[in-house]
Order: sequence, then C-alpha cells, then structure tokens
Amino acid sequence: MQAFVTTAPGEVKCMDLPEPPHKKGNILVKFETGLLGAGTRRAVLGDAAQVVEGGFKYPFTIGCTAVGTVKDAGGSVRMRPGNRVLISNVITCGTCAQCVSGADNLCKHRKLAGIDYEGTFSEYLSVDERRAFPLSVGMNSRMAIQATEVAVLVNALEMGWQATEKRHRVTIIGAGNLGIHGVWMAREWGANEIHVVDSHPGRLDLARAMGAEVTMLPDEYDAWVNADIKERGAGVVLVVTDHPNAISQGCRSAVSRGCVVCVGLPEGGVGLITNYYPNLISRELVMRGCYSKTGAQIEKALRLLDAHGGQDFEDVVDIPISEAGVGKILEFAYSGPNEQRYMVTNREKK
Amino acid sequence: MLAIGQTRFKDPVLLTLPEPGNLREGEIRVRMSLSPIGVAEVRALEGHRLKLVDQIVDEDHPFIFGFAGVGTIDDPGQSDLQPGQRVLVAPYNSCGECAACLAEDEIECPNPNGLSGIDVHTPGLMREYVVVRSQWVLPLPEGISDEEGCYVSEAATAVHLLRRVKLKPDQTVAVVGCGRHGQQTILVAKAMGAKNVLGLDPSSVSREAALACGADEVIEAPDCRTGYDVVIHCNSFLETLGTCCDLARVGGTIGLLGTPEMDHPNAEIKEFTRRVLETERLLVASRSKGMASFRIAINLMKDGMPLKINNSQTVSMSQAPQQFMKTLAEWPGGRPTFIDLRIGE
Repeated sequence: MQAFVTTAPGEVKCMDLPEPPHKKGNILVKFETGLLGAGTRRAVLGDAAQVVEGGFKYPFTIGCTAVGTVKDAGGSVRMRPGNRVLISNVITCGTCAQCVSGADNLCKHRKLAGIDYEGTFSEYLSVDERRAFPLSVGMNSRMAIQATEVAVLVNALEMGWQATEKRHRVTIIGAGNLGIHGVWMAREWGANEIHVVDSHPGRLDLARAMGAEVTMLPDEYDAWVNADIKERGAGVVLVVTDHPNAISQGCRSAVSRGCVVCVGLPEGGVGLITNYYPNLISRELVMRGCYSKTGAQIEKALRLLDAHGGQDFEDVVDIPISEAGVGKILEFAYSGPNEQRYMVTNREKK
Repeated sequence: MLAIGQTRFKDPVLLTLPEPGNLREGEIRVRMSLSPIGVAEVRALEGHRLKLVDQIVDEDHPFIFGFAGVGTIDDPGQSDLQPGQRVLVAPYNSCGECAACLAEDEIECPNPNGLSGIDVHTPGLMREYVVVRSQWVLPLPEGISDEEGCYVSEAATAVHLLRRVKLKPDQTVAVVGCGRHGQQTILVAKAMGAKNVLGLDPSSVSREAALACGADEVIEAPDCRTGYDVVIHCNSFLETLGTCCDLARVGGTIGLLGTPEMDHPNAEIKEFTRRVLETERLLVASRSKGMASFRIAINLMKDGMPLKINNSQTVSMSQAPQQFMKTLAEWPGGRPTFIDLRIGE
C-alpha cells in the first residue's frame, strides 16, 4: 500500500509499505481523507521542539486525524465493515487513572499519530477501536475530519464556561485552522459578542464572514480593548496560537475574573511569565491549559458538526496518496500558517 | 487627632490630622482601638508599590498607615449600630452603591477609590477616629478579641482565595509558604473542611506555626509528594511556582495569593507555564477580598476557627514609629505587633 513517509527533516516520500498486520482489538480501516494541520507541518519540517522529547524517530508515516471506512471490524461490537469512521490522532492507554476517570486527554502514556506514533496517511490503517468514532449516515468527510479540532475547542469552551460567569463576550486569539471554529462554536455555547484577533488579514476576513463582531490585528486590538477594558474585554479568552506573546495578550484582553484558556503550548521564551502574571493577578483571572480532547468531546464535536455544519472548505488543495502528492505536502509545510486548506485523499485505483 | 504616617519612605512619624467633620448620609464615626503592623504596613514603609503606581508621598501628601483595625462606634449616624459597639473596620473607599459593592464584592467596584493603608489618597486606619460608610464595618461578636479582630482581614484574604479556587470539603490542600497568609490559609482551609493539609516552608518557626494552625503535615523542602487537589502559592517568590506544579495533581488547581516580586524570571518559571498548560492545571489568581469574605471569616471564627496569635505585643502610638522600623528590620520574623490607638484611655 502507498503511504506518505518522512525520512528526514524536510523530506517526504510516497513509499510502498506492506499492509498493516491484523492486531487483536484493532479494526482495519481503508483511508479516505486526512487534513493537514500544524502537527503534520512540524513533522515534515522536523520541528520536534515541545512535541517529541528527544526528536523524531525517522522514518515514520505522517498524518494526524483521518476519515475512513471499516474493512475488518475485528471483534468490535460497535462497528461493522462498511461503517465510516473518524480516526482520532490521539492514542491513549485506556488503563491509567486519567483514562479510567474519563480524562483520557491527560493520559500518562498519550501519543500522537504522525508525531510519535505511526501516522494515518496510508491506504490502510490498523487502529485501536477506541480511536475510531462512527460517523452519521451521509456526513461528508470534509466536515467529519474537523471533529478532532472542534473537540479541542469543545474542551476549551467547557473549561471557560465552567471557570467564569462572564460569558457574554468571547475573544479568540489566533484564527488558524483550529481557532476559526471558535467563531461558530462560541455562538453555539451562548456568547453574544465574538472578537477575533489574528495577524493574517485573510483569516480576519473569514472570521468576519462567519459572524465575528470584531476582527482586528493583534496590536490594533490590544490598544482598542484596553481603551475600555470593562466594556470591550472578554469574559472568556481562547488563545489558539503558539505565538509567544499570545498568552500575555490573552490576559490583557480579559475582563476582571475572566478566564483565559490556552489551547496547546506557547513557543515560550525566558521571562514569558512576567508578561502575563501581573494582569493575571490584578484582574483575578483564571488561566487553564487545554492540551487535547477526550473521546467524549470528540463524540460531542461530531454531533455539533452534524447539526451545525462547521466550516465548509470550498477551496481545498486535494493531495492524492501518490508520488504526485509529495510536492503538495512540501508546499503546505513550507508555506507556513495561512488560510489555505490541504487534504490528503485516497483515490480508487483504476 | 493623631495618626501614624510617613511623608517620606522608611520614616514613620506621628502626624496631626484635622478632627473628623460632620457625618454624611450613610456614614458612621469609629473611635479606633487597635491596628496591626502587617505586610501592608511593611510594604508601604518600603514604598515599592506606591512608587510603582506613581503615588506621591511628601509633606503635602502624607501616607497614613493601617490596612486593618478594630474600634468602637463613636457616632452611628443613621445606622442600626450602637454607640460603644465593637466593630471591625474594613479598608474600602469604593462607591458603596454599585452592584459589586451591594454584593459585598468591593474590589470589583468600577470606582474603588483606593484602599486604606494601601493608597496615599485613602488614609489608613491608624488614626484616633475614622469616618466610613456603615457597610464597611462589621460588629465583632463576644469571644473575638480586638487582636483577633485585627487578623480577620488576613483570614478574609484566605477565605476569598479558597472561594476563588472553589475548595470542596475533603479535598487535599498544600500551602507553599507558611508565613502569615500561609498560616491563615491553613486555618481557613481546615475550617472549610479540607483534609490532609500540607504546609511547606524552609523556616522552622513558620512550620511550627503551620502545625499550630492545623496543618496535618509540614515539610521543609519539596520532596516526591504530589497529587494535591489544590495548591496555594503563598509567598513572594516566583521560583516556588515550580514547586506548586510538583505538588498539584494533573488537572488540579493552583491558587495564587498576591503579587510576588517580578524581577527575577528564570528558566524554571518558563517551565511552569508549560507544565500548567500541558497538564490542564487550573491557575486561579486572587488579589484581595470583599466584605462577604470578612463576614464568612467572622462566622468561621464564631464556629470555632481559632486565630492563633502567640507572643504578641502592643505598643502605644508614641512608640509606634520606632516599632515600625524594628518590625521592618525583623520582617518577616518578629512578634505580632499591634498599635494601641486609644490616646489617654
């Protein structure tokens, strides 16, 4: 079977690999679609900082979340051959205290597909059944593939809503592939006013089109919101970018006793804490990391996407799993974050 | 009337202020009895914060000390209070009429107008008389001494923090730093039903005090202990935030009390941010408290929460300037010290 494999930093090949062996407790899935995101970019470029301790172990198949069709359900009672499923990029042990308590996003032995575990961009996948989530009939794969991203924001919004009563206004800092979902999701959660901050004007246009009331560049927003923090600041701030200044901007954008939820990890920098700590204290903020998502949150994300429709990508770069797709993957990796979406697809061979 | 203040930093003096004027609607006059020298007084003496927020202290703008205090009602105005009734006086100067003030959450008032003993334009409580809105005093029940009444403010700070972190009965708590605020936090946490309260402090005196406040266990330095539901950072050193991460369970809560010094960031602190975010620990900041927390603190004391004040001393107003400098030199050690504000009694 064909698979996209990275062999060194900046190198991707389409290789012919043996089909995965059947493992007890696993299901065999025929790959249909996979979305390229920040994790895959890091894997392709070899940027292992804060992702993989000790660096990447080459060669490995890239690819995070995927959608596919069950070919062999093994002993599963939840799935049958022919069912379409979402394959999560998160691999958990299922037995540690966190997993058992339902906080499987904090699994002690968590691994990420395409980062420190075999990726999904191959024609066939053998995966633990716990990673597979059935799709409703007719749900298109472009919509479903967004579920693991949406699930992270489900986690973030649940945290924000739990931490503060001030939920009228939500600010999203960083409107990339993940953050942009925050616009429709915050509305779904009950926010009346949504602000989006990003340094890419194209992303701000998209956020405005999705209904955000205020969209601004970071410096512009910082000055505007702090000119009248009580009337313009947000009760819930979602920091959805790894820019090193984003957390401090998040704390400067929050009203007193608001909540700043940081999705993922900042790039960091010495003295980072001194940038956000004074505002954290003086405004009595709550800050929380949102690192991943639980299985229950992925299921909720699928339901939300099914009901709401999420964000439909009209202009997607379609990448077949073939030698011809390698250039597009490198183009994605080296072009850096922007509003263009790239998807890997498994086309039927003629 | 006499007051204890300063017109330049680290130079406490007795000042003469005008006698209090007529009461306005909603105001009362309190004859002050006792006020403690605490962290607010030491910090004001050093002047770091006042300089940081550009508040001028000079002959024309004297700073009056006193963040906490108790007294007796001298003129109850139109309130239900009785002349001679013992009361605790809170340090607020907010509008008193907005939703936050009416909810006894004065620090959320849009017009806080400073705090007594903290800001130069809001005189502190180390005066013979103070005139305040009646809503900013609380009657002291029998059985709570004046000294204990002076410490209600510290207990209220701990109440506010532990309400912010939503402490539940039977949760485990670790307190990093067992100075005055750490001790009060231990007392209040135990009174609120926390179990297995750990105190951590390098000072043996502070550790003993923590045990006296009800800590189940005290340690000198971090060890392999972890898994606490709630960890409270109760000291002025950012570096110990890493210890809070060690002690808190994954998904647990770290409460931040007050403002540590910010001039020595290092790699360990950077690591703190990463660890908090990666393990979805909840970071909850707390800076002060409102009257609701004072009220809860008094109720906890009525229900038996013992405020430990050992080996205390009380000095007269005339001795106060000298005592201020002695306390500053010994800080954070030294005996708990109160200023007797009852001239000629």
